[in-house]
Amino acid sequence: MRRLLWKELRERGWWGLAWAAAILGVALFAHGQAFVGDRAEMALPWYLLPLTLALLTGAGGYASDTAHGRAGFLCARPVSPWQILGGKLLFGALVAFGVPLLAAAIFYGTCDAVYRPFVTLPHVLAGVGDIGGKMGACYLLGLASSLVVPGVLGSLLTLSSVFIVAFAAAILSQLYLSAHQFAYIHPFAPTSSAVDPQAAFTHEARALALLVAVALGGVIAVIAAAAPLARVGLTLDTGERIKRFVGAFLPIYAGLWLAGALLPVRWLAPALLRTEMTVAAVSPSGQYAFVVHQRRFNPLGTANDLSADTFGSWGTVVALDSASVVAPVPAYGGDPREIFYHWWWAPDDTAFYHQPYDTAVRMFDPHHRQWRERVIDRGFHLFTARLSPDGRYLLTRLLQGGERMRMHLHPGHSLAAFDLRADRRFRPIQVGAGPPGFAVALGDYWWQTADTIGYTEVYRGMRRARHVKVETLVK
Amino acid sequence: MDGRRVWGRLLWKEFRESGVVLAAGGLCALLPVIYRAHAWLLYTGIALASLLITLWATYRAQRGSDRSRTLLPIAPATGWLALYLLPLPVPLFAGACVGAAIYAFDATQGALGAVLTSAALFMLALFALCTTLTLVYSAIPAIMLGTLFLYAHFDPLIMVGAERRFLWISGAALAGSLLWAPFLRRRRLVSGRLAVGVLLLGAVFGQALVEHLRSISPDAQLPTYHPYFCSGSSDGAVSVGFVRSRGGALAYRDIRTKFQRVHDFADGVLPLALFRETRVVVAEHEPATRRITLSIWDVRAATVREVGRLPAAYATINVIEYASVRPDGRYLLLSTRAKVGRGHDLWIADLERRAVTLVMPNIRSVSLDHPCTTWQTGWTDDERVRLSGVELMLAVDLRTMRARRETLPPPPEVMP
Repeated sequence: MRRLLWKELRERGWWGLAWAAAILGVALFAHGQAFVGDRAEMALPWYLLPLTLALLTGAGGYASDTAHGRAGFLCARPVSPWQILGGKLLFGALVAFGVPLLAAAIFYGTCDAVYRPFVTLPHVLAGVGDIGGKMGACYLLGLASSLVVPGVLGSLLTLSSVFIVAFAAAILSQLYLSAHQFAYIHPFAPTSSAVDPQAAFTHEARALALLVAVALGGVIAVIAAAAPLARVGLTLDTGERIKRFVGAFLPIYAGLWLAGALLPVRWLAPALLRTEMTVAAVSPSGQYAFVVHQRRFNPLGTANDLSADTFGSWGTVVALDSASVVAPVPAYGGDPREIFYHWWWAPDDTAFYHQPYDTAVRMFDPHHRQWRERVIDRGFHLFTARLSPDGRYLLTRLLQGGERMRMHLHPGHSLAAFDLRADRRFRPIQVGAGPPGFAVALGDYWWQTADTIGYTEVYRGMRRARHVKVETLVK
Repeated sequence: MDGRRVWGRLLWKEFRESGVVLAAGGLCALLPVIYRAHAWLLYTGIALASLLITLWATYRAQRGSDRSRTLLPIAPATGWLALYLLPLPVPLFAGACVGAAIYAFDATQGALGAVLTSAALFMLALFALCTTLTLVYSAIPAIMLGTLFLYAHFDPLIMVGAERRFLWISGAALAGSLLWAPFLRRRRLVSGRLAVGVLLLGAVFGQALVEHLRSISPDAQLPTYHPYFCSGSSDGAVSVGFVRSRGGALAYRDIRTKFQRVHDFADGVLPLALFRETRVVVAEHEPATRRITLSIWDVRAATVREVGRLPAAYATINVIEYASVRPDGRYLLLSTRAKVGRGHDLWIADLERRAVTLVMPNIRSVSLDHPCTTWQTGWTDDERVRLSGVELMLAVDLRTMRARRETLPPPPEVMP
């Protein structure tokens, strides 16, 4: 085995070195691999380089052994085909798993001291396993493909052919899914209340199963179909090897595809149904949080249109210390498909404000656990809003004057104030709105005191500060 | 053999060799036009057509560069023209098909003619690159660079928006082929390969490299105004910002009292948070030591006091992503771009004891936005701080400086 390994090193040492250098480079310098923190990651585009090199190194595995009749000479040596294969696998495993381990060691030795306590064995194993697993899979795929047609180019030709077959299988899967709509429901169907959520997700579960069958099945089929060639196919001529490979690959791949298309998948539907993303907004005191649970199926039982970026949303106000729900957020107008658009907490947790998409703002008092609807009954730009120092009033900028804009007149600006604790409306403050060339621009706006609005008018390059008592704006 | 017959034979040879590729490439690219169900079909069609052109151009050039062609009774210039010009319809046709697919998918707002032209030029560049690389090096580098080129431009918007660039790359590939001839004649293969390699790599990746170098230079990373930090009071009366035309000068302004003060910090300063109306936590970066220092600027007293230093080296101040100070100014929660990994490192700075502690490295929050747009902090009375965001709820015990993820209660299944 040592000699076989030495042979591999001599034949593919440079490829292996390039592959190892690519792994090390990406793991250490491209912020690619986290040996600390939440989870291992391989999503960086830079990882395509070591993955490609893994494929190419693998593709060179049997490339020279099968070319120019060298296989006969190799098989005449006192080694079994499995030992030859073992040598090649060992070479791949050494690079695929050994180099990430080396990267972890280098990282531990060179990282800032504050990170060292977080480099734990589970993290390192997860990182090494993640890199090594994917590199190893690519290497194995390349190695399997090198058993069919001699030369590296031949291996790539095999892989390209397999890719084209997989593409055809993907199109077939799409046609199959379209033909068997299962229980797929069109988003926002009027009969939504009668929909069985599990049935609606069966379609997606089937699509997932087919995707796995097409992608992963392709890899498995190549490896499974090429593996016997390592035992008996080395000395065969290329045509015979291709015949045997195709003869094994197509039935295995077809079998895996059929498994993806026919095996029961309804058990997968509840898992998809429950997949959710949470968005949390903690209150200033850290006691409460507003939590939005977004699922791809809303409480009415209607599948949401992902392309329209809508989700079924469950909103709750939770007490964090007791990890309990204080109050669910009521559906706006009975429609649970609302998008939780804006929300914010008043200082000292006195109130929580919530504005469903471009509609009225509602308020929740966490201490009395009460909702008050429509504290502000119109849409406004919350990003430009400013709370008064006591959190009672809200001052924001309104974009108005569309009609004037159409007449090519300056639309002017207006500021609007809202009383968040009482049902009172205020007259907007109109700033500017003069004829063209005489328009007054809006400068800053702020709360001068708890009940006085301050704003700056900019008129012909001159800035003038103005103050208005909010109470004088009562309608 | 007269010239016309030579060209006729060469054309016939091209037709025989490239007809299948012409049909297959067109079919791959046109599939998404016929069946427009999902965007991945468009991407797969583009990828297949491009890979086919890459493999075909490589295969063709490899066959063309062997000895059999040089034995034919044709002039070298004719051979060169035959290698590059005769098969031009194939990449142009495949490119036009790809362009048609992109146009049919409404992936771009461009006019049909412009889209077709740009996609055709993309395929032309791919073809010319692979052909020249195979001639000068071999098939493997050609396939690798072709695949990298495809990966770098694998976006319909890029593919139809960079026709000038593709034209330059095609030109560089042709120039590389011409450059190679004298080196080949004088048998200076290594220097010739080096020259052509530099030319082609420069043409393909030069612009991206310059942009990358520009983006990582510390000077380029400090914007005039950092958009993520709202260093002001929530009522809009107090604000802290940069002073234009004065390097690291920060200006504090209270619009109610018209109080204004400017302090000159070194370049690479960032206002992080405001507390007790007139105190600003600022971060400063020292290029020599690559350290980030935290200071408190007391505006009324016009003093700056160092309160901590991040125990890790950074090339720029721009790694700071989020900051929140406890209302009494004792602690600062700070997030930096993760030193390792793609998440965020979370630090707590004890501003009284001048200690900065890493409480959790590389945390992930699934968000397309900057942390400042989605993260919120709540400072509890019992010496804890909670951090929330997308798929994120952390609690940090300020006494032990340990962070842990908190579990949120599930929502009620029935909508109220």
